[in-house]
Amino acid sequence: MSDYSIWVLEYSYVAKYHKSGVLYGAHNQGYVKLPYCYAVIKGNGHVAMVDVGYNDKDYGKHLGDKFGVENWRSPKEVLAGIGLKPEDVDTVFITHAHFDHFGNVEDFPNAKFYIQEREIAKWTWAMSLPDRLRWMLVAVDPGDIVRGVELARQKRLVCIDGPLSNVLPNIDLHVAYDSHTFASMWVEVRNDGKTASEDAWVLAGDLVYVFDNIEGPGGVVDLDKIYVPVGLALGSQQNLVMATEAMMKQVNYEARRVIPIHEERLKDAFPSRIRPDGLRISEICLADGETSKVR
Amino acid sequence: MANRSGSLSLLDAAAPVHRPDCASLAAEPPMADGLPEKVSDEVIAYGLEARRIYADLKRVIGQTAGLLILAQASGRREAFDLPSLAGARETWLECRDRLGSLSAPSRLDANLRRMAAAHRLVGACLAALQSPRMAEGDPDLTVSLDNLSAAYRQLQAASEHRFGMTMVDFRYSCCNCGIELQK
Repeated sequence: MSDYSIWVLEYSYVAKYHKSGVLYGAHNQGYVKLPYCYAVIKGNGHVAMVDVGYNDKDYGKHLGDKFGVENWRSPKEVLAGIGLKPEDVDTVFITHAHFDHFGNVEDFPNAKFYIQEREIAKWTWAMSLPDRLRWMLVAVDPGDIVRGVELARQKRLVCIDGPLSNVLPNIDLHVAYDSHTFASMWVEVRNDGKTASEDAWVLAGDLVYVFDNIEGPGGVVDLDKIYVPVGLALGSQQNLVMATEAMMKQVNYEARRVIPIHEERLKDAFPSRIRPDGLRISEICLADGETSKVR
Repeated sequence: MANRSGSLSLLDAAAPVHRPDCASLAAEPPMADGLPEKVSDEVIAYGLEARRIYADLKRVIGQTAGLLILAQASGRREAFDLPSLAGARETWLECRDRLGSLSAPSRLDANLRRMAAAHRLVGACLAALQSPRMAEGDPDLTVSLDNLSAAYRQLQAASEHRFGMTMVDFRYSCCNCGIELQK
């Protein structure tokens, strides 16, 4: 029995991206493609998303043009690939406040958004600091925070304080403090409905970028595979590694059940199709009765 | 919903090293790297000072918005009383002084006007937050948010990446490779 379907939808990409950006310590090892994606979870009468991407309107378009992001497509176009509309989305889990995850809330008029309170609080603190400390502010657009106020005024933004079980039936939110960002969330879908699930999927946000963050090269320490943290940590690499361990524990150490959003090779691990516009749809799992969107 | 009893006390606990009012965080002169080439000294002088004002206004906008979220979505009414908000007001006042003494080369008049407009709108937002009613019941953020949103749009329009005046700083982020590859 499976309650939920999960898809990872690519909405743009950086064609050539420093490998050291995704894998800690991979200096001078060339480039990889970096897809920008969000995930959709559909089932139990809900359509939920994990992050919303960024908005390519006005300033977002400037950013994309300037920093090499290509082929941006709107949620309307991207969600159509699995037969949905932005208006269908009722729940959004914002894993963290970087622009490419929190930057397009305006396109989901019927959704309630969940974010960690500490993620907002510590960005707010960081913004109060002088220039020489502004490394902490990379990839954050204050405009996204302003738009968050409007959501709050509409009672559509929920700030949560720590982990939260059953935010939707059998979907749990977890948090990794001071890791990729101040309070990065990851989402667990227990697809068999059990508390100790044997069919759990983890949507990792940016706590894991690619498969190698979970099963990285371990030859130097005489191991086949070790956890290797992502290249960008606002907090500590230690916390990233421990977050990876927590995610892996929830899926009984079955690595393929931890889904890295920025992984191009998802298409090799899961049924996928490339749309006419060149963007990918990866089908992670299907709920009972749901039809495939990639075959 | 999770129990708040063990939670951190917002921004104060979030600043174990430097609180916003820490004496060691005195303003420093702007960095002189990354300036455009082949422009007049007058334009460079304008850009250096404008960048400071731009960066401060950007921070005040983001900071104030964050506090409004905490007040509205988390019910953290103490957000209006935090030193952060007082710090935002101080920064806004400093910007007023600097804007007052800044003159723009003629072709940058519009840039200066946009920053001045952003500053005025941030001031209107902060003034609205000083209402005693803000700390009571369900605060009405309409005036504050309208002004803050408008301030953001004005500042966004004043962005000039050749002076480092950008809303999102990518230089050390996961996306900075794009610009390097374009060189």
